[in-house]
Amino acid sequence: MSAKLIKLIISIGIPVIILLLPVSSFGIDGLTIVEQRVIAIFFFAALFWILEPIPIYATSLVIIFLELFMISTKGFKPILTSNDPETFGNLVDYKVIMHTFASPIILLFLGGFFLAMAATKYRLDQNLARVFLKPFGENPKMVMLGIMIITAIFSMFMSNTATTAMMLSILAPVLAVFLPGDKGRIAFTLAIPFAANVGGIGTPIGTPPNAVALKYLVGDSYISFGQWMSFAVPYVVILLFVAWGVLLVFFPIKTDKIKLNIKGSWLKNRKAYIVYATFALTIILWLTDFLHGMNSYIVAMLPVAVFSALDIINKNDLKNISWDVLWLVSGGIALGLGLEGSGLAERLISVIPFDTYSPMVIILLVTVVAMMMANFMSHTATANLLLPLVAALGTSLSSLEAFGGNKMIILVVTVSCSISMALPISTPPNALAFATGGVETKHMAKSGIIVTIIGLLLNYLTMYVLNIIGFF
Amino acid sequence: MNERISFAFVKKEYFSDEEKKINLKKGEILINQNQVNTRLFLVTKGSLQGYLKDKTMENYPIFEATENKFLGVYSYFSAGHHSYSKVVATEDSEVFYYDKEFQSHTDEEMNQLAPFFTSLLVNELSTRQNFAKQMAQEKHNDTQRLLKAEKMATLGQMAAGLAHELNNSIGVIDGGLERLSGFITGCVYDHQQEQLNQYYEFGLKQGQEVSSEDARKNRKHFESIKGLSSAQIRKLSKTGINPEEVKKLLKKEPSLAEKIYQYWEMGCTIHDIQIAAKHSTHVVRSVKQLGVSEHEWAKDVSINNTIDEALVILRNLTKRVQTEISLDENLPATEACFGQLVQVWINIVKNGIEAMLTAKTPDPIIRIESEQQNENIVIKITDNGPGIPQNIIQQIFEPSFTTKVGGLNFGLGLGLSIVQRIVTEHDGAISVNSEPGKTEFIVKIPLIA
Amino acid sequence: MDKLYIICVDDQREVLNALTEDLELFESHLHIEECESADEAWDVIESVDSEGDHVAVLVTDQVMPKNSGVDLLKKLREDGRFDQTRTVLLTGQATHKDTIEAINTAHLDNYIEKPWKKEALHETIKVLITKFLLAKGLDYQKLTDVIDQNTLLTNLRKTT
Repeated sequence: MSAKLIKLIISIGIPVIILLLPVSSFGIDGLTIVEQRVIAIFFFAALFWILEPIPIYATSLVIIFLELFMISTKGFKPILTSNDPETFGNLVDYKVIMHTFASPIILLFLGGFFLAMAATKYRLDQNLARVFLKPFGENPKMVMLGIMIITAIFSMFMSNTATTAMMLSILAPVLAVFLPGDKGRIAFTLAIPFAANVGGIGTPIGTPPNAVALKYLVGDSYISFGQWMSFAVPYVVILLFVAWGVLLVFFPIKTDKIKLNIKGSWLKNRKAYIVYATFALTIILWLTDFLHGMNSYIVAMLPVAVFSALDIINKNDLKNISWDVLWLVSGGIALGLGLEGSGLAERLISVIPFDTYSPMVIILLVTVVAMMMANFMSHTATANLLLPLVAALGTSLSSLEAFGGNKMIILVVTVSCSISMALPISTPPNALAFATGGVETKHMAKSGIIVTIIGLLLNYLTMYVLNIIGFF
Repeated sequence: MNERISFAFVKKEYFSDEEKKINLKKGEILINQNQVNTRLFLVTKGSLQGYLKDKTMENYPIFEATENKFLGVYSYFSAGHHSYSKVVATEDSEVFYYDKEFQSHTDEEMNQLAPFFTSLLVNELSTRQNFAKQMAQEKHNDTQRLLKAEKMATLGQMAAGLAHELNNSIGVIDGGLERLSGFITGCVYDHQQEQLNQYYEFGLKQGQEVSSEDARKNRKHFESIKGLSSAQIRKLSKTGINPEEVKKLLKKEPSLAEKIYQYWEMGCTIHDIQIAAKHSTHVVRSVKQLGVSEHEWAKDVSINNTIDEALVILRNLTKRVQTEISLDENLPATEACFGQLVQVWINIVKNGIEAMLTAKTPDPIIRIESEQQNENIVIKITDNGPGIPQNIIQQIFEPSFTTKVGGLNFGLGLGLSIVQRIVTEHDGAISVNSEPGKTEFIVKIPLIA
Repeated sequence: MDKLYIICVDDQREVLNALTEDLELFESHLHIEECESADEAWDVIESVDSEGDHVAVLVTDQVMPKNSGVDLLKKLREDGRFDQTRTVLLTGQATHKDTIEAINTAHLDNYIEKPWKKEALHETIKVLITKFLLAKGLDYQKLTDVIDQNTLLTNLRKTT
């Protein structure tokens, strides 16, 4: 029997067993049938995302279908009617579940994708890299720092994968001239994925876990684009320097001179100018919502509208949009909806005596779990699974208030999801760097673990400082 | 023209005086170039030739005069009476002449003769022009022949040079391979993997005999053996080793799967290189023959041996068809060129087999027979292929004729024109009878005691 | 995952063996099929297709009895099922005309001269496999040993 088949049987078997158990066997007072189904779906999601018998975005789509089928107001009637509404539980409006495909968060990401795609198409990314890297000279250490900063900045607005792909191809000719035995080659190869992973934390659109977090940062916990950057960018900068230092210590560079030769020139046509202007305007609008009142979701539609209208992004380009990433997030949002809408989240919090634990222990526990999980599976899937639980915890746990409350715990977990970069399978950028053949797993692991742990400690420190200055 | 003045009249009237007759032996000179000549000659027997001598050319022929043709027309009628050519008898000849100096005629007589001489002159002019044209054409043809001969000689020299160079390299490969294969065989036997030796030998002796199509069919036998990767299955399937045997061996030592193939492949590779080296040697030999005609004639060549040799070289090809050999054991030896005869059989057999394979003849058979018929050795090579179409059967022995698309396969087919040349050089004969389903080449080589 | 195939065609068995030997690296992830004629190759291509698997790369000799390599490539190109299959013409004796014909009518992806260099062959095949996977939208993540990084990076830059 193939490993894939075993995984599939486990991933389907356990949720089915959960579904078939009598409600009473869970030992939770007042647990409804709908809530039981949500538990089954949650286990289904967890197993499928962890074991990955099918692509992770496909799991998201199946989750949405299962919710529509089993717990929505317009689902499969024979299993949705009951004589006793009390024990059956609350159904979720099917429209709300379907809205996850076009939730403001998804559209914010779509806007980001449009910006990134236009930037690549009109070579804005490569030209910016060329210009920004010039001041870093030819000293290998400085060049590496420059590359990391540029990579981080780009990955704030572009996908971490595309940024890594671009920077690795820029670096390829440089990597080729390293002498055998010069560990600098490893340092450079790892610098790019590390910087891309870290950089993604910098903006709400930097990486999909941030999108998942935005779902729970509503109402009192709302956080604007600018506010996000105001705490995340300093964090990114510090962690970037840490990663730079770690890599230089582990993999000292022997070469004394590095010459980057990035070809290209600025495009000087009407469409290119429109791309430059729209790019700048969108970022400015994102950062100045307090002036004009448009939130980041609405601003995100600006590049979508402009680039489509002016044929800068055409029909063929639409095919290159990573719909799988968007749908992966949709599935996560839908999973959260199920937990909240059915009332399961509240019930779990009320049943499990979290209040007896110290809030410090709880924070430590969830962040370490997030970090561990994210090392072995998709960051987004980790956020999809953990954030709904954490969000429920945050709203119900009064003792957390002293540390920053709901907003704090969501941010601290989200960042914990994004800093895991110890293994090639941890993130797509890591996988790409590993695939170049220049690094081995042990190289990535020893430097990645250090950066991750320092990142986690720095994460706590950031939250501590933010709490003191009254950010939350 | 005045009817009275006919050629017969002129001959009788003016060129019949026995005193004005000259007999010339072959090679004797009648008139020298630039000599003053006042005579008009009529050839009555034999033939003479006029030569022109200039700075570049000794005795360049410009005209020829045979019986009843006039000579010395130009000098006789011209003002200075100088001959512009030398006239020599090309065989024993007899001429009569008429001398202006000593025979005077009345004006009336001359007037009567004038039209005759006019026509004589015109005739003379056109004859000489034709002759000049013919000479020019011949000269042109000569030049072309010379050029072609030169080209062939150059090609031959190149081929000989190439053959010489390659011969040395192949010698190194062939000799080296022999030593290496001995060495490797020794290593294999020292290696204490007794159960694997047989696979090495199997590969070395047979090479790969399983076609890719059969290998695919064999696969299912190996697929039933547990623990083999798909690559190992693919490889083992083409060895031709019995799957049951492999199964038994792997049951005892499951780690041997890769080794079995490696041992077989090692043998097979040596086998392949041996064949390739042999091929190369023969190709080089053929090229040599093409170029400088290296003839190594011997008095005691066994025709059967030449056929065997050809079959060795063609082994890769003959195994793809059914090959029937029936050679007369009692054939006497004859004087022949061993290498060239091998070429003959290679070419004929190869053509036949390739024709059958290309046409996908079902159950292709090639039959080679030798026997003695009176003073000849007769070799028949028959195939059951599609036959040679009637419209091209006349051309198959022409040098540039080929039915192949894209050229040669292993560089052996130098064509049936070579075959014919070689057979002719042996004073033999080659003939072909062909119809769909049966094509027969018959080669006769005379016995030379 | 669907199986991927590299199909090798050469009427000379020795050459075919040498070719598959040099392509062994790819056998960790792809299947290699050996064929001695264009017709046999076509049968294999058909059976691969009927199993729902993919012919990623076709490497063929030019001069073969009956149907030539170019004939095979043309036939493949005219068949919509294999429009993403990458092709390599491998030959020592193609005339200029053959090559032009192969490029013009069969949209040949690559031309490798015999005798080939193993490394060059590997590079070429890696690039072609990568292009095939990307064009077909197949998963390349488990195939890192047999794909070309540059081709992959260039393509990934275009995604969001």
